[in-house]
Amino acid sequence: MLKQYPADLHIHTCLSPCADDDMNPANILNMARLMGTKIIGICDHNSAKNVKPFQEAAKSHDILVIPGMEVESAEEVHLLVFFEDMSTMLEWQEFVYRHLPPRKNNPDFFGRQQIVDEDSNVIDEEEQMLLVAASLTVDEISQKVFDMGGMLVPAHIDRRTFSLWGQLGFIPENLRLSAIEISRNICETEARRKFSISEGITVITSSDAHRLEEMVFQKTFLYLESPSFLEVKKAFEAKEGRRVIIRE
Amino acid sequence: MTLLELREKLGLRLLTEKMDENRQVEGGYASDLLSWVMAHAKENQVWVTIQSHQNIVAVASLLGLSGIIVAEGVEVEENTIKKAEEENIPIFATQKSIYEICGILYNALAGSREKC
Repeated sequence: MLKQYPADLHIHTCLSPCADDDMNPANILNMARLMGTKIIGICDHNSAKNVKPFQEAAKSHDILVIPGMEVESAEEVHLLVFFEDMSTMLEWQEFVYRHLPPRKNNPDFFGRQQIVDEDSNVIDEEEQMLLVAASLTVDEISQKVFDMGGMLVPAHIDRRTFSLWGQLGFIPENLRLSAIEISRNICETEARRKFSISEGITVITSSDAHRLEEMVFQKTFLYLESPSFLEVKKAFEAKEGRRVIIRE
Repeated sequence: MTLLELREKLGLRLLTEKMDENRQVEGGYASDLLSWVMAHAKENQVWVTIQSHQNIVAVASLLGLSGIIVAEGVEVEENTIKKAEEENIPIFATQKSIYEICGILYNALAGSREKC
């Protein structure tokens, strides 16, 4: 029996310099609960150092936290990357960190990069500047992510900059991906037409929330047997009746 | 100006196997946002960029650009060169910065116009 799970797979935490400092587990999970969101993706820029505390804190919330990251490619394309478990995510993170220019964040200019624990205490600050492009091409990222059993979702394809469309003009032929994310500024029908997204590719919307109040624009519903990474993957692939529905 | 003159005047290295040496270059364009290039570049212009994804070939082909100059010593992916050969779009490489190569191109094009 398939059930409907409201999902928001692109949420930033206080680790992203451009996100509010109060984007911690307590606030985000309570906001998700208020909005009825059952599956969330924690996707900070080029880092996954806050995923674990969210998973721990979510245990008392009946919310599935999928390990994610919004990686920036050499072409300056933002791509959401998801893995089933934390150990693979950390392996991926190490790979990404090796390809970031060794530059320190300037918190006064870009904002703080806070690492938290499951009780929402700030326990550390990330020194590596995260708002940068990794020296990995879109194709290299796609290949590696699928080799590692992950999922790849180009972020906010309708944005002029930092999107697959903006940077590369159109969705590259032969690029393997799991789904395509559109922002809340465009509806699915229009996005499919404007960016020539074929029927076989699943489209999702996410909040891309950097602030708590941005988490209210939830309209993606996943039809799954149970909330898990593998079920979400099946929904993206429209397998065994699992699917994604966007409601405007 | 022809592609042959372009290559010589700008000191470019041809990455694709061959090019139509007599193909005309009527202007230049520079941007790294491919969506922007699609909307603004014009036929018979040569395009200066640091993007090297194979989509640059499709954009150039679609718009009827004379060629692509990949600047700043950026390494061009093998798939991109292969695709360019299929589409008959010459790709040139230069170590010069976008700023420098555009300046040289601008002057070269202005000079070739005065001649006619």
